[in-house]
Amino acid sequence: MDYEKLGKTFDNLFKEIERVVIGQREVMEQIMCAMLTGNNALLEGFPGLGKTLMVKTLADVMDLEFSRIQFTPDLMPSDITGTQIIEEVGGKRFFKFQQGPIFANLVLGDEINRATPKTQSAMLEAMQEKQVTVANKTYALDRPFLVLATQNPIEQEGTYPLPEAQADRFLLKIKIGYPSEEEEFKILEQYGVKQKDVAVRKTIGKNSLVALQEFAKQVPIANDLKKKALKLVHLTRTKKDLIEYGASPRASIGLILASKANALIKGRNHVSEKDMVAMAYPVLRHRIILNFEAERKGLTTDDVIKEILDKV
Amino acid sequence: MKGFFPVVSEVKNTLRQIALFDTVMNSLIMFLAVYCVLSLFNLFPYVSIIPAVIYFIVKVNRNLKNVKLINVEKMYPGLFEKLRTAADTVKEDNLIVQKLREDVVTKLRKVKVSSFIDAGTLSLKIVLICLLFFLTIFVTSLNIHVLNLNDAISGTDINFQFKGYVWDLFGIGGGDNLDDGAASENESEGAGNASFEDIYGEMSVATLKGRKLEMSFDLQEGSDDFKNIKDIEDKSFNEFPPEEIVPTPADYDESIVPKEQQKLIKDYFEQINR
Repeated sequence: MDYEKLGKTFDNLFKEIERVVIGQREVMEQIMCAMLTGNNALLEGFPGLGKTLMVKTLADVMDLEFSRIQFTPDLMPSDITGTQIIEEVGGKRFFKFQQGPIFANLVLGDEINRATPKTQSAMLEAMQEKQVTVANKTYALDRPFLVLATQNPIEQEGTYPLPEAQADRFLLKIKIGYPSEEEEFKILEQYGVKQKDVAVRKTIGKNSLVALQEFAKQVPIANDLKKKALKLVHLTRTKKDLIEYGASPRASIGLILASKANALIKGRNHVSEKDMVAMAYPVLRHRIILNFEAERKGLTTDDVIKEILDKV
Repeated sequence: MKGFFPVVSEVKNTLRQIALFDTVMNSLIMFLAVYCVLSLFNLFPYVSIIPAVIYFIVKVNRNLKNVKLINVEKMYPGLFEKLRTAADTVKEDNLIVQKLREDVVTKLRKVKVSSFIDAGTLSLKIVLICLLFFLTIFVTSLNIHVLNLNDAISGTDINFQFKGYVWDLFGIGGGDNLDDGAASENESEGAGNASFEDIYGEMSVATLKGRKLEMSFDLQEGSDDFKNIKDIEDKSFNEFPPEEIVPTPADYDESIVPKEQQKLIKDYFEQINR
């Protein structure tokens, strides 16, 4: 992959995705940031906002193997990782490992908060280790590997909210909002009136994505920005008037990595303060726990993050 | 293309030179202003170098620490965040960093040294230095005093000890002409109002290599009492010496003077007599 053509590469990629997914450009960029850093992301949004369509389109445009796991309370770990099955060939029976849906490049885990903690752990272990162990045998997952887990912010009854320790393993928590009127009109035109299924063209391949991940690591960052990131995360631990528990050092690392990836997507050859501000919200919103005072005031984590950013 | 590292070093050195020059100008203004003020109040003007030096040391340290690449970025928005990032990543070497450095070097070519010098302020400082300089020369040469504070503190021990300390510091001998030529009319005031006997200490005791010797002054009959010495009387001298004073060759024994020098001596006295 030629560095000179990077700017055009991302432009073409997003233009191709926008043929299917109307609007949500910021969400796509944040998912791309997660992919470039080789980390996983949480998608939070109301039903019907095109989360599955978004991820599937991204997989098609990048020629990645895509799989979807719908989490339910009765889902077992083996339903995710795979299991041994008996196969008979020529009168002989033997065990054969049947790969689960996790054996893909891009895995969409729908409503991860509906699965039991045991099943969630199986998923999270695969995310962390990039491998699966079944019957004492380890199977490596194909690279690149990315899990996009979704959570429904409403209808939390009968769900198993992801513990903070597990949520911390996701680099970003991406919020998907409603489209604007103009965007929704285009959606209506395309899917309601014309009912046109648009096929996307492959823009970048698997190897190109691996090269892009290498480029993302190389983007330089100034020392004062690193100190700013550190100060930002440190403030989440000291702002006791609104925050019960602050972010861990994983957040500092995540903020730097995400900022680098965002700089690359924007076509910059250095990390800017704008990148850090943009990435602060998805990196920190699932890593801080607000106290009662903040909840009493009706503040959200984004409001508190904004307050901290103004101080830095 | 000139390398990135020499270019950044050059930029930093230029900024340091500008900061140093500015500090020198300010120190010079401070020195001249304090010198002028001290001269106007007839105080010890050489002391003005102390605050100027202190100011220079403090300011130069602060200004050199404040020499940062962000100052260049503020003047040239095209370099914003890029210059700092490139300078902070000197140890890294990859494709993106190389591209950043090329970008920075290309933009640094457009940076002009004159953009960091405030011409208006600099001109004002130069004018102020010239004015202070001439004012100082004017005040000191004409001996102008707004208030003669030196007289107020001249009798005190502080003044005497201070002057002694300052003379030792500058390695200058003597202690009479400390007041810029404003000579005291009364000689006894040149060293304060101490009595004449005090400069010898106890008249009956002297020390020689740590051993005390008892001495006494035995004033001969006919010798003048020093206390009764009066001021020199102003005498007007005539252009020519009075007639009663005539140089005549003194009698001398020719045998003492060598023969070859006798003619020389005779010619000498004849010349005087003319």
